Amino acid sequence: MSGPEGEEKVVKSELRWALAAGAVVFIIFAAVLWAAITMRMNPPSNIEHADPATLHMQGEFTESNLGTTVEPDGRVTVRMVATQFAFVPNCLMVPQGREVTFRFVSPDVIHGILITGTNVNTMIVPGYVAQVHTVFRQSGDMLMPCHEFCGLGHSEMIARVQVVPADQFRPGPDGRAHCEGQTPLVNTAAPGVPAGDVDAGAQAQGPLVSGEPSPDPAQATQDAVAAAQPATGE
Amino acid sequence: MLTTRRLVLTHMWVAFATFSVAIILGVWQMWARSPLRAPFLTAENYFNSVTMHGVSMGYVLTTFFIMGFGYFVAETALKRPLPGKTWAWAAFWMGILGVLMAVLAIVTNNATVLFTFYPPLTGSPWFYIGLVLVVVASWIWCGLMIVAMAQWKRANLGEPVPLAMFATVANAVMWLWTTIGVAAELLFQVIPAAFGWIHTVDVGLSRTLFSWTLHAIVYFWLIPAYIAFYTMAPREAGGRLYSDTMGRLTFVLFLLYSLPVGMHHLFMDPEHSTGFKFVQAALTFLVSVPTFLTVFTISASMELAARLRGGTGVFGWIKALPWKNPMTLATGLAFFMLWFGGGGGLINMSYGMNAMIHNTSWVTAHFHLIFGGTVVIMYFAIAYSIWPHLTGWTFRSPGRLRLQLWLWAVGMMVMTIPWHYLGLQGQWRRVATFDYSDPMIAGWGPWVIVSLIGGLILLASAALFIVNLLPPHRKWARQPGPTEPYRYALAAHPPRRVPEVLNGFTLWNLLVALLMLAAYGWPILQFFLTDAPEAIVHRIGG
Ligand code: HEM
Ligand SMILES: [Cu+2]
Ligand SMILES: [Cu+2]
Repeated sequence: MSGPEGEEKVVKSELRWALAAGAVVFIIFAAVLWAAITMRMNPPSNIEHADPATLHMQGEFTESNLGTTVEPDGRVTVRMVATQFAFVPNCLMVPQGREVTFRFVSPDVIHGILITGTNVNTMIVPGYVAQVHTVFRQSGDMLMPCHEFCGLGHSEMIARVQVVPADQFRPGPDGRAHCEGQTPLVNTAAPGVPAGDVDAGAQAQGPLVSGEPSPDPAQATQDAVAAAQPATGE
Repeated sequence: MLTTRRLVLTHMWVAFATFSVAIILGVWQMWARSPLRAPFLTAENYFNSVTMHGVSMGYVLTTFFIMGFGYFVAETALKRPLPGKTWAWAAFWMGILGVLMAVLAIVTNNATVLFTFYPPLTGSPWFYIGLVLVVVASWIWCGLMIVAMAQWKRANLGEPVPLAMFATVANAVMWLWTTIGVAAELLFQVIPAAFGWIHTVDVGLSRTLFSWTLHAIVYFWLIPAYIAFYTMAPREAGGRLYSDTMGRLTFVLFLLYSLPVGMHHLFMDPEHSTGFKFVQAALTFLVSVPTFLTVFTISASMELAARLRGGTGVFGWIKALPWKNPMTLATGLAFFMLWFGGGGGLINMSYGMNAMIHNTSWVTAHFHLIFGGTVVIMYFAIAYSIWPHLTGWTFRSPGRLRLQLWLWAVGMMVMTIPWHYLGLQGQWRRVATFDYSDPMIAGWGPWVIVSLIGGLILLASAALFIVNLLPPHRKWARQPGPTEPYRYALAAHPPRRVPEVLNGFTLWNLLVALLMLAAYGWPILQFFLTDAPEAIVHRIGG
């Protein structure tokens, strides 16, 4: 077979195709670049350190400082600790239509979050502060699960986000806002989560949850829920 | 008969036996995540299962299949016996030992860390040492492939290395580069932590080293499928490869661009700057070019075959292809899945858009479609194509082979379309159960059940695959196999000479080194210069 096409033709058609493919790739890439620059669509990338061994004892992430805060300059910041196997606090109230900055840390292992129905998404890597900015366009309740395997209680590690219309967002005099009528999150029928992951984990998370570090992660979740329960009715 | 016959068959059976166990676990996992009550469901069982399924599919099926296939190509494409067969068997047993160690650690609840084993969560050291042994076994394989090609070149001065072998060695060279990252992570961070020699670990560094491996490993799995596209499918369809040069270029581009892009797995991580994330996002776009080239070259090769068989028309020729041939059918189905999977991949790699789908079900759906779909269906087709040369008998009822391939493609689409959709709805991955009594989640249930049905179709296909490969027991049911040696596709214009750069890897290795320095130099160095606080090691199990 001498080929239905000459060799030269083969090379030419391949080159034409390579150019076309290159052009398609370039156009898509240009769109990504455009979004990054004009819409500030950048991934969370503030290289900022936080020491997992001490973060709950001093500074920004002590328990009393967690949750939603309206800063003196009016910016809304949410601080949260992700720990095996709960978020502290486990419910957040945020205003609709205003820029919200989330700051997450982990004292133990890697976690991650997303907020369903939004593009809020970040890994939470021990040693670093994970920071995400967002504006919630719709009000209502949303889920904020942990999305990276962090141990046997991982499936039960879920927080809730309550987005309220801006005029219903009334922080207290201290600038703090808490979930309304918060009912402790009832977890999935935790299919017999056995003991495990209690070694350094319990130490690191001990100060965050009230009482004894529970050997049962599902139970630990409930403890943390109780500990994080903000005083309702201000 | 091939001298590597037993070697190849043994590797393939290890790969496929592991695959059959793992797919049962996969179906059970989907069942667990659905609203239907799955038996044996505890958190520990689920995550042990995902660990086992991921390790089996990602590390065992692939590595053993690729090694076995490489030995086959080295002997049949170079038409000379494999050098160092003793080494090959030593590597095989080392790999088996490694797999047994890892499996033992998992089933005794000592390695519930998933196949990505992100520290500081740490399992038994024997799990990691087992994985290291598998990697070292594959390094021996890489060495044998490189030596086989070098010996052939010395005996055939100036001649172009047959494309199938050139591509196999490209994969071996790429794999050596690829495994540096994970090997460093395991040896310097994870294993010392697992033994309790160190109590804290720099997680930013370990994630970065793992990302070095995480993208290129996918191309390691993928390249056998591409070898089949370029060097097997055109002949089986009755035609020729459209362009041998494009084939070589494609494999070289894979070698170059699959490595300096791994940070696209860290887009959502806080330990890297937007600058380097963006650089690697840009390089990631380049790695889609060889896939575009392949789609074109293989489609053109298929068109050549179809027109030789009397096909006409702009698209009418497609009907003229020998769809009864399993390799042709598998190539068509693989391309079909590649269109969907590739489209999804464009979203994953889009830097900003990634935030929408990172760690959602979209990601698991995506890699099941590309890896479980496009890649594994070509593993099936390769097995069907080379089996007669390995066993000495031919398939009596090829209809069963086609049925198996169709079931796989259909099952994969049924499983992954709802899975993708759920990812867009925000369903997150890597959890055992969902609380379907929550109204925000309740609507997902039916879609997970559809995925489960897709999984069952895949399970049926997998069972049929194994039945197809089993030797016919009754003597009269056997048909004698081929007597002539295995033939690869010829190019429409077989190369008499190729430029030396497309006949070896020296220059490309140099370029890989430079690209890696540019892409990963600072991102890794930063961990040694800035004093990031370390995470406390969390050991699981006893
Ligand atoms: C019947 C077919 C299959 C089903 C139902 C299935 C199902 C699953 C499920 C439910 C997960 C867990 C995902 C998660 O928790 O996020 C999973 C993970 C995984 N599957 Fe499959 N799978 C199947 C076939 C395959 C095949 C053919 C491959 C590759 C050849 C594969 C490779 C993997 C890998 C590597 C993981 C690990 C993912 C992770 O750790 O996040 N699976 N699979
Ligand atoms: Cu988690
Ligand atoms: Cu990748």
